This record gives sequence, structure tokens and C-alpha cells, in this order.
Amino acid sequence: MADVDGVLELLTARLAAVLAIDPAVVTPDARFDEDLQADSLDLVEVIEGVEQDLRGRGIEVSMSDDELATLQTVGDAAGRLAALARPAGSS
Amino acid sequence: MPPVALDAMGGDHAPDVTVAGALKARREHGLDIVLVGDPQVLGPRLEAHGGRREAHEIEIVAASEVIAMDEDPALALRAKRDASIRVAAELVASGQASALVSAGSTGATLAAALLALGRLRGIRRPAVGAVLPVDTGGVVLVDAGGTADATAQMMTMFAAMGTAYARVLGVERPRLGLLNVGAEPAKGNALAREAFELLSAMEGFTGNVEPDAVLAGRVDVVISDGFTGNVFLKTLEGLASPKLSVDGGPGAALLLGVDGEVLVAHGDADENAIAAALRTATTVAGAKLAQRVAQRLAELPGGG
Repeated sequence: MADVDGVLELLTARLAAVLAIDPAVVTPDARFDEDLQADSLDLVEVIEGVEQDLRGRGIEVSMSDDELATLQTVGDAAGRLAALARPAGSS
Repeated sequence: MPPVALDAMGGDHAPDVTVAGALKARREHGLDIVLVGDPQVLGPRLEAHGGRREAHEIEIVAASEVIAMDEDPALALRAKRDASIRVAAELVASGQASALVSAGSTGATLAAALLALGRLRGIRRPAVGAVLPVDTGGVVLVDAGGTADATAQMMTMFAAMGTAYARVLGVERPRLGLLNVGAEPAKGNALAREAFELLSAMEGFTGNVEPDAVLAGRVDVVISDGFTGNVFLKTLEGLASPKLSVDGGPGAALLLGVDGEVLVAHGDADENAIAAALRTATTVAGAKLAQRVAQRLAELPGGG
């Protein structure tokens, strides 16, 4: 597993870049749709970006499309990604 | 220069028209093209023209999946890693192709380009930039159909991208206009009114413009949400169609705001339009248009 705070940091950076927003508004309770106005393309871009960032740190993670579609808040995404993370090369 | 990657599975009449358009472009202009798609489908179509030299000069890059017009582009791209549009975009990202052309779903092309190539700094959402077929010369329309439900904030970025594109095309001080139902400041729907307020702070903004003012050449850049812009573009193209059907026109519009050359053709493009799009893509790639737009964007106040 990866550290939730670490994943949150990566998510915040990606969300700020994709949505062109101040990182300060990206809180764990922030809802992707209502608070951040992120649509499905934004979410896919952000999640794929974080997966890539984690891969660069030797951590494999791949969220299913069904799970991605259920994410409501930034905290949901951080928790889910952290729970799915595995060291690269492990079974 | 690497070849242009054609999403051979994208478009209403693919792959027959995409293969025919590629062969035409190779035969008439000597363009370097790779077809991206299912070899089982594309191979026989090339072989059917096997007697021609150009049929042996076009490579196929395999991609086993296709994004359908009715799928959510982002979720579909995530599920279909081997989709032709995604594979084609990744060819550009890796430098194996100099540009991408697709007549498939504009949303899928935009999403694939974003995921593979990345966005230019500060760009919230890429947009389709079309040079309008008006007699007065190159009028740039942004957004010509990338994002149907744009926000007013996105439209300020469309204006910035359109300004940068117009400058690359040689207009040093582009005049910007917001496509609207009337010229007065309070005109239009809620989106138009909100966009007007934000755009008023931008250099070169002249106010709202009605279609006749665009056709009269009173602005160099027309700003619109993607839905309205697409309807406007298709109306103009429909009126100009006798000419466009002869030489294909430019064949495609540019996707602005991504870090690479990506062109979107009409879904119902025929082989002439596909060939024209490939020709435009080659020109755009040779001119490194995306890079020049990025440079111009960085020069704008608050840009880069």
C-alpha cells in the first residue's frame, strides 16, 4: 500500500494543473463534480497522471473503470489509490 | 519528418474512405502516412489497390479497438487501451509520427490527445480551432466543436488560443469577437453574458459579433462555446460546399492546447477531405504549428 497523504499530494498537484485551480481548494472533502467542476475527462486525466507518478516511484496501481466512475471526493480517490497500490513487480 | 498518423478507423465512412484518402494523398502529393487500425480490416483494402505503387508505400500500425461515436470518450479510452485514436496519439507522443488526423469522435480525439501528448501550460481544456471559409480571409473560430458544454472561464482560454493561432497565421494584433445573437453587451444566454464580462478584460476584444460581422471580416478571431461554434462552422461549410467538395478545403481543423499536432476532420469526410486533411497535417507539422502557438500563448499576459 502507498501512503494516503503522499497520494493526496500527487492528486492535488494533478488536479491543480488539469483544472487550472489553486491547490488550496483541493481538500479531501472536495467533491470532483460539485466543488471542483471536474468532468469525466478531467478525472481520467488526473487518475492516469497519478498512476503514472506512482509508477515512476516504483509503485504499481491501476484503478478499474467501475471504481473510477464511483469516486465522489478527492479523499475517496486518495484512499482508493493508496489501497490498490503495490510495489512494482509484486504479485 | 516522421509520417502523419491517420486514425483509419475513425469517421462515418471508415475505413474505406480513410484508406482511399490516404492513397490519394500519397499518389498526388507524395505524403508519408501510416494507417492506424485493425490490420485485418485495413490490409485487404490496401491490397485491393495492390496494383498501385502507393498501396505498398503506406504502413499499417495495428490497433485492435475503436471508440464509437456514442461512447463517453474518456471512459472509453481508459477501457480500450488499444483504440486506434489512442495508438495514433501515442505515435505522435513518441515521435514516431509528426501529426495525427482523425475523422472520428472529436471528443475521443481531444481526450486521446490530452492523455498522450499533455496540455500546454495554463490550458484548462483544448479547443478546436478552425479557419473559416469566408471571403475576407483567415478568420479563426475557437472552439469549433471540442467542448459542447464550455464554461465562461474555458472561453477565455479559447480566446487566448485563438489569438495565438491568429498571430502564427500572421495577424499581429488580432481583433476578437464573441459569437452572439446581437452586438449589445447584455445579449445572449447566461454563458455568453458571463463570457462577455471575462473577455472584456482581454486585449483585442471588440465585443459581441453576429455571424454577418464575422463574414464581413470585422474580427480575426471568433470565440464560441463548442456547440454553437460547431453549428456555425457546419452552416458555413454547408453554404460553401460546392467549392469544398472539389478541393476538400483544408480538410481539418487544428486541436489547440495540446503539446503536439492534432487535426480533426469531419465525421462524414469523403476521400477528398481526408486527403486534404493529410496535406494540411503535413504542412502544420512542417511548420511546427503547435510549438509556435505555445510560444505565442506564453507571450500573452498571464500566459505560459
